[in-house]
Amino acid sequence: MEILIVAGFLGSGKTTLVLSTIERIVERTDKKVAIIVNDFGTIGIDSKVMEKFGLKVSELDGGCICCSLGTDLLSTIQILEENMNPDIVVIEPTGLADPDAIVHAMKHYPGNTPQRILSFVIIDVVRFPSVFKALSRPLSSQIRTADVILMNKIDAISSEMLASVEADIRSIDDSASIIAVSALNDINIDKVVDRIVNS
Amino acid sequence: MITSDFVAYVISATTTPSSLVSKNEITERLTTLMIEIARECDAIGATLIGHIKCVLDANEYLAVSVTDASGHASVRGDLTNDIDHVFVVINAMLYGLTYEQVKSIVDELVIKHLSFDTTVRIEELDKKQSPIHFHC
Repeated sequence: MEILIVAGFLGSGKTTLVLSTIERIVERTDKKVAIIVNDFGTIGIDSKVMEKFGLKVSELDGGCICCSLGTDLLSTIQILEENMNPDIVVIEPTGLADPDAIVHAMKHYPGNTPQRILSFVIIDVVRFPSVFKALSRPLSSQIRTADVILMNKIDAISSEMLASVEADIRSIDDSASIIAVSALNDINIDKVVDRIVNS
Repeated sequence: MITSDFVAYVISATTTPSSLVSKNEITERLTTLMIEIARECDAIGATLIGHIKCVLDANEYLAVSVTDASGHASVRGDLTNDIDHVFVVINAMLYGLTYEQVKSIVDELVIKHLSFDTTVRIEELDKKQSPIHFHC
């Protein structure tokens, strides 16, 4: 079993990315994929949207899985493993989660050790300056610890602005693996799928 | 990414209008609702709009979201039929205001846009949450 964490700030496009990649992953690999969504509240919006697209989703509500719900996350993965035996478990935490904390939580997973844990952090390039200004420390931490940075919504800004955002990300982690995408308009999504499938 | 001024206000809004609501009208109302929540929160001092979003849960679905106060909303899903019952889940997540301020704005705008010719019932879906609970 592999774990794919799709993290990113509120409104960065996590759900859109999951919707645009899962079907292709299944088509290409024929792997069994399970999705865990951590929403706010007892009725999750993101999980409802995914279910309307025909995906089966396990919900974790009422908190953030990188901290107070860590145990619930591990239990949910174990239940999925026992009942469904997925090849890939996709975890979409809230927009507040620290993906590195989820990676650490997985060290306590009581089931079979995952073959791989891959963490993506999605950056909304349109709002990056304002989000970074308000939350520079946690955002920098996300960037430094992610395996792959997805600069999302690239079709909504100029190439100059995009270059500026990329330079800012590089200034935080000059070796970051970055893919520029538009999850909504299917730009470079195949590159993301390649990265998931081939790495 | 929690600071002490982060607020997540999560509710459902339920109403049954006396007549069918057209798909265009409900789409327009939800879009306006999301945009106005963002604008009003911004106007009274929100330092950062995180994500303000809703989903209309019916046989089909409609999701609307905004990430700033610019007046731009993203709409996903497409209703093909008019609806006779409205059940909407709304999340307002932002920085710089108190829970009470956000609740006041959201509740007032929900009543304004989703009452139709009757009343709308608002239910908080996560009363236990607090900034400390979500602190990462």
